Amino acid sequence: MPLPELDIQNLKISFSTPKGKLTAVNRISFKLNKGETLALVGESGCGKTVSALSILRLLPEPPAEISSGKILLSGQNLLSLNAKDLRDIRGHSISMIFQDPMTALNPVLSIGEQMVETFLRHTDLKRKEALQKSVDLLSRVEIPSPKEKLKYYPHQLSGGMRQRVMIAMSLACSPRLLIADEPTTALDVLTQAQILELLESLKKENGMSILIITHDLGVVAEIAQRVLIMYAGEIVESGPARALLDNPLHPYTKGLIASVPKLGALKKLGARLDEISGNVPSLEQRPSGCSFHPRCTWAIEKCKTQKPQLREAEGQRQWSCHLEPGSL
Amino acid sequence: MELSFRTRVVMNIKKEIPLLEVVDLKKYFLPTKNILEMQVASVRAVDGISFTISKGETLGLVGESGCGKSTVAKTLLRLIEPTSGQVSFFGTNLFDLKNITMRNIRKEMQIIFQDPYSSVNPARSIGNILQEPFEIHNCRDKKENAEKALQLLERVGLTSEHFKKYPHELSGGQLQRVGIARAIALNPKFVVADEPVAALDVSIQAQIINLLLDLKEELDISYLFISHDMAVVEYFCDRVAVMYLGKIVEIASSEQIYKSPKHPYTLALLNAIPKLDSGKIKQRIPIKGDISSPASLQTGCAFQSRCPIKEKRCEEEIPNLQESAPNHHVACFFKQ
Repeated sequence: MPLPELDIQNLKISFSTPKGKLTAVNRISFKLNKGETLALVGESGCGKTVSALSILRLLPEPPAEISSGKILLSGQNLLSLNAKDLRDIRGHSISMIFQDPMTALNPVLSIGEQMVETFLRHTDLKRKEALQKSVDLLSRVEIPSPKEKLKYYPHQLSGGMRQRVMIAMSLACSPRLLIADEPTTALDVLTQAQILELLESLKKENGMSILIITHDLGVVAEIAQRVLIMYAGEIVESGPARALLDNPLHPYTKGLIASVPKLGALKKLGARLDEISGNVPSLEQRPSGCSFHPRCTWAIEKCKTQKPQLREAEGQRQWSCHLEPGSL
Repeated sequence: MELSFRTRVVMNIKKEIPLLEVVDLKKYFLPTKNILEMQVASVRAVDGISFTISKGETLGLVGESGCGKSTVAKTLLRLIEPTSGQVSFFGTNLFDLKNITMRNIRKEMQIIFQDPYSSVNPARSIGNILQEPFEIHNCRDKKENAEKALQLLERVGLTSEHFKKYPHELSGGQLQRVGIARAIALNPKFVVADEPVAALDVSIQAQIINLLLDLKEELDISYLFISHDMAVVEYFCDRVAVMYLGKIVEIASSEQIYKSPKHPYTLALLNAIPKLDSGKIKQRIPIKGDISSPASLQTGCAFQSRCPIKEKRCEEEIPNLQESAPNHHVACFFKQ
């Protein structure tokens, strides 16, 4: 078996706060294979962004603390690297794009200036060559008249264009792994479709792996091969995207899928959307037993006291629930 | 003797005057000279749109960011003044009214904003926020107001526990419920919902949409529902208007829009939505580029730069909104 591109084992991340030590991510493990697109899905506060940031060690430590676990990039444990080695990895082997391209780009530097920076840091290219490379990259992400755009400042570009610039920058050193944190959430649907298509085609060209973080199951269906569903700092279900969306095993996954209004679903008069009642639990008030039990329609007595373990199901799937798969 | 607005409302309902009638509404943000004395172009945020909303009906207003949807909402309620046009609410033209009369009519028309955090005062408690509408509209009895505020909280699915809390202590979904409670406090006939679920989590979105549907039935509210999410709009609205760069390019019943969209832009919007269900292999319409800036002047159809079926005529003439099927209006020369 070839080594997975990214192998996260037993990762636990906590934050020191005035209210004590709070656990944001509780012992999650997952693998991302070469050339695969893996989606990490969950609602705000479930720990998906914290997990992603920890891979690049971008969390401020303290207050954050990675208290246990391993993050292996092709077998190399990123948690044991020093600051300098980490910088060599960031933007070179792993790069990241963020939700809001306006805040991720530097507003007082031109696009060209920001793009060249990556090349000068990680390669031996001269400034002139780096500029030429930047033009190539911009045209690869389908930005019209790329040469002129180098002189532009972020505020002169639209949201979609800014996200394209971010993607172009992240591709500068042909990374093995691209982490995309809600890359299309701030964009309009038409632009979202363009960006997703772009990511897809770039992945095919470069053979890189993508870890995409999203709350939009539609996006998952569109580009991911495998999915992890996170709830309250834990992975509650994982599996191949199609199988998971068609036949969810965990009540939370089932609820999420049901609460999305579907286009073309026949609207009955007075029909209501299926909703998940209650709110996402906060960090300091994680429920006992299964963290989903206060919102779960099927919860039984056991769910209040006993935490369900991840179980294996057919077709490389996992889920954590006390109930049998057929009983939902 | 001048009749009160409510009396006139009742009379006009009997005469079947539409709840809201918008005629040729325009809002231009006019050119200002900047410090370098350069002329800056005017922005045609809303460029001559017309529609009606009947009583009990929900109209969806769809479009990408920058197309002018929110400007329509604010102009309708006179939160900003229009450049020209007419908005009749139960037959009364709002733009003719003095501020004091307008304030009275605002009892009947309310708005729910996209971001619940920025639409409430962070320094006031939830109870306080909910009593404000009553105070503004001359109910000075504090005890009664507090009681009404409590009832409102319960109506939108919160509890008396939340009464003394402050906005930062609530989650986004809970705070949006407060926003809704405030909007329905004075029993309005018409509510503008400006992207009410866009800032919320998926599982919370469904809760809020269901709440809005319940209130519609219970209180007989008509909505203008602004959204960029075509799936939510289909679920929620009776009729849909699609906006592009300040103009309505297609307006029809939900069923017509979703079953037989006629404008290439509507079709593209529908196609761009990522779908959950398997099986359907969809034909994507290649839409390139971004929405152009409303400040850039161009002749002809506003959508021409991105349109897959553009022809010579589209560069020269502006297509008008025309009825192409019963109650189905489209602004395109080469509609599907």
